[in-house]
Amino acid sequence: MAVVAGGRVVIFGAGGPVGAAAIEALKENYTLRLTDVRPMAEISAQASVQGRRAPVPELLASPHENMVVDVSDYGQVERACQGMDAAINLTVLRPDLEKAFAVNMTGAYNIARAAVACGLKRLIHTGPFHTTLEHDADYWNDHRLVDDIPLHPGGDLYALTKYLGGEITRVFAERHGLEVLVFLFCGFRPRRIEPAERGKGTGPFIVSWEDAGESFLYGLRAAQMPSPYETFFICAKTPDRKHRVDKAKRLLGWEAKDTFEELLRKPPGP
Amino acid sequence: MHMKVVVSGADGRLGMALCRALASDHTVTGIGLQVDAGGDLGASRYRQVDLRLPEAVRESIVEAEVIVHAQPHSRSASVEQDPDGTAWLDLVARGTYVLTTAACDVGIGRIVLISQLRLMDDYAEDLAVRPYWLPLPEADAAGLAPYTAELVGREIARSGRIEVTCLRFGDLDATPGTSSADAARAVADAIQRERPDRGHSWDIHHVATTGRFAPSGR
Repeated sequence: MAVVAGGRVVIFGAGGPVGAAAIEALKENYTLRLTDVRPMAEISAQASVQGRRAPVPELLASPHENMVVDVSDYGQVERACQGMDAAINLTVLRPDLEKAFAVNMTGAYNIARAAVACGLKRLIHTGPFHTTLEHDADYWNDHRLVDDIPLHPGGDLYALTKYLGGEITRVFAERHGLEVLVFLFCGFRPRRIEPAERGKGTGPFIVSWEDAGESFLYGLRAAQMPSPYETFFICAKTPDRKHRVDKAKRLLGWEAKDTFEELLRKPPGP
Repeated sequence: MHMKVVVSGADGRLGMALCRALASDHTVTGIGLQVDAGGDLGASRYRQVDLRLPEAVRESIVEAEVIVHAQPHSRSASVEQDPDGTAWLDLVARGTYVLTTAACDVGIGRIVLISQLRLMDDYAEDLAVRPYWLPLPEADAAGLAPYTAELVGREIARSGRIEVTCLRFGDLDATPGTSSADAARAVADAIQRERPDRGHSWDIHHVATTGRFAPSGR
């Protein structure tokens, strides 16, 4: 069985805000090996580059571990996977050509390969679901989209390199029976809604940092998947009906607690 | 119609063969990683270009009308220090991205992308495999490299800025495989075609001389 109800989990790209949220959700239930290309102590001491309301990872002490890992280096990735039960790949690099391929594609290749080599039970891979990509096949004009639709990244560097990483991970999953869950994200925001935000609305495909973090707990604990590579929209159910969210509830038991009613409903008139 | 053609991977066997063949009807510039092509390019010129470097690539194709991207078909001997194959994977995927994006930017309307028939080998021998079926690459860098090139080409074509015709060849002049003559003929046809099938900006074909993917299925 690929269920990871406890044990040791390595997180790649733990220094970002999704990593911070995942750490918060997992730290009491798993022994974590937190890795990033920069030292976790350095990251934890600084504000997030994604704004003052984005979470910053807590620096965990033993029995948890902190490691510097460059995912484009296979040897470093394999060392980080040794002795682990599961891995979570949160790495992402957006604007730089060389690093985008190195992290988003080669990094995914190295993590999938090391997960197979080290006999990990489950890998949670992550990536973006871009709601719009400035071409006519980007699904922007569609509704009731399901988690398993093929991504159409077009020529966008970030979307395309993450797509390549996802496809490479799929090939490893199907060739080697490695169980891979893919969590697709788009927009994030804090759970707390400020008074000035009420009734201002929100874009599609949104999730709170807190709910995003909890999705990893559900992903690790979920029963065996129907196929080696299963994709999930990780977003709140919103009234626009653009993206269906029932697969995550059905297979993971996860659904977003935060549905942002206060953002989406106009405040009562005077 | 005479055209100005750039052929990538001209320091490899396939690129060289295509340079030689196309140069009889077109003005051809071969580009490759190595300082010298290391073989006979016929009447073609040769330039050393690293496909991962956008400025160098842009400069090398600015006068071209069509690009033949042969590099993804077979691993280049010039990629050294690559024990796990990821340098080759990066060269093919990033190189295809840089080349195709640069082609869009300078207004080139078409790329002919050469991929590998090996991507379809895992289908059962008795199936009549068609080009539109899902490729089944091996889970290693060598198997994944041509697949990533196809995905990059297909996705950039989706933007509508360029037409990409993908030709999957077998091993060159091998049995089973694709002969140099059939490869050259298929590329010559592809660079002259009016428009890919059904109005799409991406289309894909198998070109095999012998073996299960050949028209006769030998």
